[in-house]
Amino acid sequence: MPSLSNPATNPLGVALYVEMRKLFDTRSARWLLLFMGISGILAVGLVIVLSIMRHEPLNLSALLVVLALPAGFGTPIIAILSITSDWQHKDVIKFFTLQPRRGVILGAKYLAVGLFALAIMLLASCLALLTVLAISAATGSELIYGEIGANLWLVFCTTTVGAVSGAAVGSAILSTPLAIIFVLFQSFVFDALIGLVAEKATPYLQSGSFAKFLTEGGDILPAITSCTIWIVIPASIGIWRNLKSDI
Amino acid sequence: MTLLVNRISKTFGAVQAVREVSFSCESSSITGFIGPNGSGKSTTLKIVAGLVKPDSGTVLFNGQPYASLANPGREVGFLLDPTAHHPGRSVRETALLSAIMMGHSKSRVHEVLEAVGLATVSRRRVQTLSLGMRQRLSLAIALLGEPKCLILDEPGNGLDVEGMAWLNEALRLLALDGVSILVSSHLLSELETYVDQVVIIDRGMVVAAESLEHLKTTDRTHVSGPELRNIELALREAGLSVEAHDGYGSHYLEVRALPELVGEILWKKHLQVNLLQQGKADSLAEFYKGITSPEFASPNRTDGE
Repeated sequence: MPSLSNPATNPLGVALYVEMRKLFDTRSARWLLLFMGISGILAVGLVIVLSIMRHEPLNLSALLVVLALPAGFGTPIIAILSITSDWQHKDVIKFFTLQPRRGVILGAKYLAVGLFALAIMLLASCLALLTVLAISAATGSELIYGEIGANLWLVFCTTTVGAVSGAAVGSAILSTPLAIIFVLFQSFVFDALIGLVAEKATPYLQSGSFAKFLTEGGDILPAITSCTIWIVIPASIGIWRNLKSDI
Repeated sequence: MTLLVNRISKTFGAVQAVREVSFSCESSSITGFIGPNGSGKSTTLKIVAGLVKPDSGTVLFNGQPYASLANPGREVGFLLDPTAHHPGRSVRETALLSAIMMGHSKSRVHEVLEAVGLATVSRRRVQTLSLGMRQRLSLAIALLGEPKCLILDEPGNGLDVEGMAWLNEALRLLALDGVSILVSSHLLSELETYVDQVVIIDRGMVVAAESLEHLKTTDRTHVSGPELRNIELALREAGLSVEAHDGYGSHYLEVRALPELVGEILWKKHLQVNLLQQGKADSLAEFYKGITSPEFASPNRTDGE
């Protein structure tokens, strides 16, 4: 039986394991995870304090959405770090000689980022559920689920789309600082300003249109356009650069 | 393992970095790969590693392209850039990631880190290491897979005296063990002590690829005789370049020609000779200087004269 740790028989599995390790083994990644964790805990604390002050029971789906905010912010950055840090620090020299089929490494990076987004979402969901159960048990208040199914889907879509978008931009730009600046500009400046400049075209150009379509439905054309501009085109450029670039 | 580089060429924009470069490295041998800065050494090694795609030509390891080796890390070890490690990752983790990519265990990582003297600093982050220590880490990774072929670009960079001695000895032992080694270096005097053959590249082209002994044997002839002045005139008349030197216990002439030609000219002139010997370069550096194009201006031209 072929060994799972044998790169000759399981190259993608081995590369995926390495890429998963690389998400957590550097100082920058650990700081970012710590920031996400602390932000999540602070957000939970804030929601608990507000619910006590208002004498309202905790709402599981509201807590989940609040918890997902730092995850939604951090996941694209983690995705960018995962894709670009090998290029930024010339580690590609090492990894592309150990696995000359570059598609295997790039595929493993995208998979690792996707799995990370999924894990973060599951963690946020578990934390929200445990918090609500604990508070409900401690105060004897009613357990309110809210629109938990819809909100779980919302968190899943925004986190995953954010991660894939970050990975796509990272693989196209191949520079950590430039890719982070690009994603921040896209999320906080471009999406806000485009409405002022070209109101009719806004749904087609905003990066959030694809995730919005997945969670709220509506017209598919803006979703396809947004997905093409912010995910498909950068990912295609990224795949081409990763596979063909001389190092 | 035999490495065969066959007529590789690579152009970057208007610059032809490598032109029709061909050479081979056999098992149990160490090949020195030398050339001036910007001569195409690193580009050639990156083409060998599959990091740069050549415009033409092939690189084969035991007849196979590198990308088709089942587990390349276990077949070929590369040291191409000692700074190519994430600075925020620990020494041990850096080596471990490469070991996992090769299907090796943690114990092998400890073994190689110990061999290169990094076991005691394995928890330190790479950014805290000196250039020499990063070079040792790169060497450790190149050796991790117990490869049958080693490609090393400037492995002596940053190493201290002990590190250099260890490297030289390690390469000798690996070659004795059947490993084929291609090593690029500017430290020609060091290189000369352990290489079997030398490939010299200049302006993107291979200008010499010979065994070290054969390479140092030049096309110069040392000649002497009782009528040294007449010998010199005869050789100059024949259009040969002649320089007078001291040695062999007296004066002698160094002629840019093979002994057969020099002997024939002097025999026809009935000039007696008591020394007719093919010249040899004293060192690899001397031969290298004679065959490669100088890049630097003479230092005394930089003072404004």
